[in-house]
Amino acid sequence: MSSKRVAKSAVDWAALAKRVPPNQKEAYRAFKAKSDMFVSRVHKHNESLPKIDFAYYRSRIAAPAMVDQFEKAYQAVTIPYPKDAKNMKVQIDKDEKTAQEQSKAYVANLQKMIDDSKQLLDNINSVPPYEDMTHQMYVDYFPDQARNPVERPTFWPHLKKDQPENNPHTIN
Amino acid sequence: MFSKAALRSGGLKPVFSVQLQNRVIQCISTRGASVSEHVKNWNNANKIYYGPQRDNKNYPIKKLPETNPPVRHGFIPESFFTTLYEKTGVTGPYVFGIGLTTYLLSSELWVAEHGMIEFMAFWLSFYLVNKKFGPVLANCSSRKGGMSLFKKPRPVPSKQSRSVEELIEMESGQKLLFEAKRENVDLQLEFHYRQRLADVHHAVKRRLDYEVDVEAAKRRFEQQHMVNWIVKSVTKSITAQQEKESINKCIQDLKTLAAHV
Repeated sequence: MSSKRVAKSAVDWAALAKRVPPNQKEAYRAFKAKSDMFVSRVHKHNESLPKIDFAYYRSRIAAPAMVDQFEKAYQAVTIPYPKDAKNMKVQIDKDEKTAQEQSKAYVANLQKMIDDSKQLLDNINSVPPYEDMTHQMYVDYFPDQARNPVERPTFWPHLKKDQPENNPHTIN
Repeated sequence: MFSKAALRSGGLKPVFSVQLQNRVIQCISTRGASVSEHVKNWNNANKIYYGPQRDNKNYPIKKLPETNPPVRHGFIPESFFTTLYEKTGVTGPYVFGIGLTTYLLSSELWVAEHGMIEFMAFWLSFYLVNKKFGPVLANCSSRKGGMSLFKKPRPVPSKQSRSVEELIEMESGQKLLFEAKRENVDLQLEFHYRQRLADVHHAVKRRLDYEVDVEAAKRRFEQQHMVNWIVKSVTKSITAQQEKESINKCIQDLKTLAAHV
């Protein structure tokens, strides 16, 4: 018999619902409905082996020895707890591990975004206001975006969309 | 190096739009380089423009003036009058202007031909229009909250932007999800266990009930059989003489009943 027997959900569903992204709400609802169904199905039957009134049968049946035999057998019966035949739990653990790895990478990415944004916010004020910036300053502050005809020559009219690498109709 | 026209031409584009809202930082565009690279570039540039080696006295950082320098009579710079004021007094600049015009006209450097009237009419009307509509147009322009010279960064709709911290918080729901999945497996096992219990109970009870029913059926049959047997024996024991007597008795009873009536 399994060490843990559950009869009701111990999961904090409210907390989970709060954390579900809006695009997965439908899936969450289906999952919650299924889980609720499992819980309600458990409560369809008794928790332990129901009692049988053997005294009643003993009084009604001509052969009480048979009833005694039945009673002894009924009390001695051991019902095996069902096993997780398909090893679903192991599969879930495995899934969780991969999901954790993915989410760790994702969170690290998000954390990097936060750090970047903070760094950006701390430093954005050191850039002169847009109105006070000259072309020369723009070249110094944003050398990767400013036009640089020496290192990165461009074709007229020097817009991004007009460059051959960005034009789908260019014949190489 | 610096002109409104150059700015208007779109040489500079809004690069960053930073919005501080609920500690949400939306960085719209950091094209090309990463943030740290940008910061490095900015620090280098700040050293050039605002560093200790910058000669701010001789080469000050040029800024776009908020308004035009003051003018007199709609178009003549005020500085022209102030420089001449010390040497010539208040009337000096006017005398200079009239004198210069007279000189130009008398020596026919400025030839008064047919176009002269057109010239005067044009500038007179220009002056009048400027006087009448100039302030209104000035109020419309950028610095006083009217039409902007510069494209403002587009604000991010607050409802659509989800904070990154919120996303991280959402990610923690995964633990609960897997907990729920494991629990679902447990719940199903529990259900099957309880089903087995119920099955055993049902089977045993059914057999006992069967025995009880068999007993009852047997007893009922026996009873029925006994009743039938008794009735049969009694009817068999009645002789023809007895039957006749009982019928006579019945007829007599009926007669007495009829006499009473």
